Amino acid sequence: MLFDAHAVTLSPTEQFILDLAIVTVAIVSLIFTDSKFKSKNPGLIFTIIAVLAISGRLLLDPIPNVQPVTFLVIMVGIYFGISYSIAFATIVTLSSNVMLEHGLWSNYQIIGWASIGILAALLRTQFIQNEKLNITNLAIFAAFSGFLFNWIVSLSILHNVDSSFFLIYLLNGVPFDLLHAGGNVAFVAWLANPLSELMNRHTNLTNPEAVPELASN
Amino acid sequence: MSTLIVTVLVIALLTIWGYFAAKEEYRLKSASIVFLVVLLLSSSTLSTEWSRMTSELVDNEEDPHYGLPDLWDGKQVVCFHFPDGAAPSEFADGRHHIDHDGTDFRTDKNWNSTGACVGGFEGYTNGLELFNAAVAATDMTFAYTYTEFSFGLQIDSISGVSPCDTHTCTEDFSSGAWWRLLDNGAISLSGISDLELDNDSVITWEIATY
Repeated sequence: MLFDAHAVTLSPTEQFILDLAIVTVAIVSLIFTDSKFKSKNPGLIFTIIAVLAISGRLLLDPIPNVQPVTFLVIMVGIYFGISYSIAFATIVTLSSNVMLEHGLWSNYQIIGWASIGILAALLRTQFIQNEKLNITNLAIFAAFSGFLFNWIVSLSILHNVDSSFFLIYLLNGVPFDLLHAGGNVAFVAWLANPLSELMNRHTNLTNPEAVPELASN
Repeated sequence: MSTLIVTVLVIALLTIWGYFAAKEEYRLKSASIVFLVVLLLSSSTLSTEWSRMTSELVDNEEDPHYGLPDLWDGKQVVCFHFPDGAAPSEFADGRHHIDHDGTDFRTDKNWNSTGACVGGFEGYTNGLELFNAAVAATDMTFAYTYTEFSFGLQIDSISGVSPCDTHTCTEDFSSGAWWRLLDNGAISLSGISDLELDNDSVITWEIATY
């Protein structure tokens, strides 16, 4: 006997609650099962976090400007370094934009997230002090990153409008920037510590070579 | 503007409450969630009020939407243009912009006529329905009188201003004035009661002479 599951329609609120539950289950599963992985190679956990970022971005799409990618690229930058954060920004943007729509703006999104990852890697010593994550500094940076990302992506309008309009355009977007910043801070507050423990198991922060790009600093 | 300030204050106060109401180790978690939820709940009000404020900064001479605020792009608008000295006193200093909820949020003092545009409407398909909605949104400031003919309505006065109050009308009708209806900047070929609207229609009432 077949039941037509496609005929069942959920309201936007019901769909959102279901999506949120799926993301929560994915994050909790990741945190609890990761202890089985003993490798110091960040490749596996990097892949899992990228999948989490893609699914999180897709599932939280109904909430304007609240998604986990900015927070996760910051964490990747801090723990895995510049090259990983650039790869992360590219993979997550292109993969999720297959569903969300791909276009010229994808390039600006990649540049935006990669820039944030690079900044996070360069400022790593501000976020990890005495081998512990400084949540306050991280929350401030995450809030700033919400604005920075939106400003970088907003550069794409310069293909269509005069630069004199740009500042007004940025000013007009402040409420949406605030949502992005607020979402990032919430992700930091709730997920930074467990994710930090998880990522820490797959990198060696006491060894500068773990983040090769920082070796010269 | 006052609504914007109140909204920001409510968000800030609830976030501060969220911070201090929680135990020390949970303060950031609590405050961030309260901030995000309140911001999401108020995002519609916040972005509307913010757009109203920033629309003051835009002065685009080549605006394709009849010099109207960006806030009304893609929405329906009714404009009332009065001759010099004939506009109601509160609209005598330029063209006011009044949102669909009655908020007068911007005055264009460089516009070449006085009066007001009432906009931000959506979903109207008939000109008279939109006209009535604009009049209602301004608390009947632009109430009109009319004469009903077999071919439709003739608008006799708006805000108590009759065309012959501002221009000379001869008794033999050889010269006179009337409230002329423009549909998207062009003289309307239909009367207001028969006018079909687009999603971004701008209809304008102005006094014309013959």
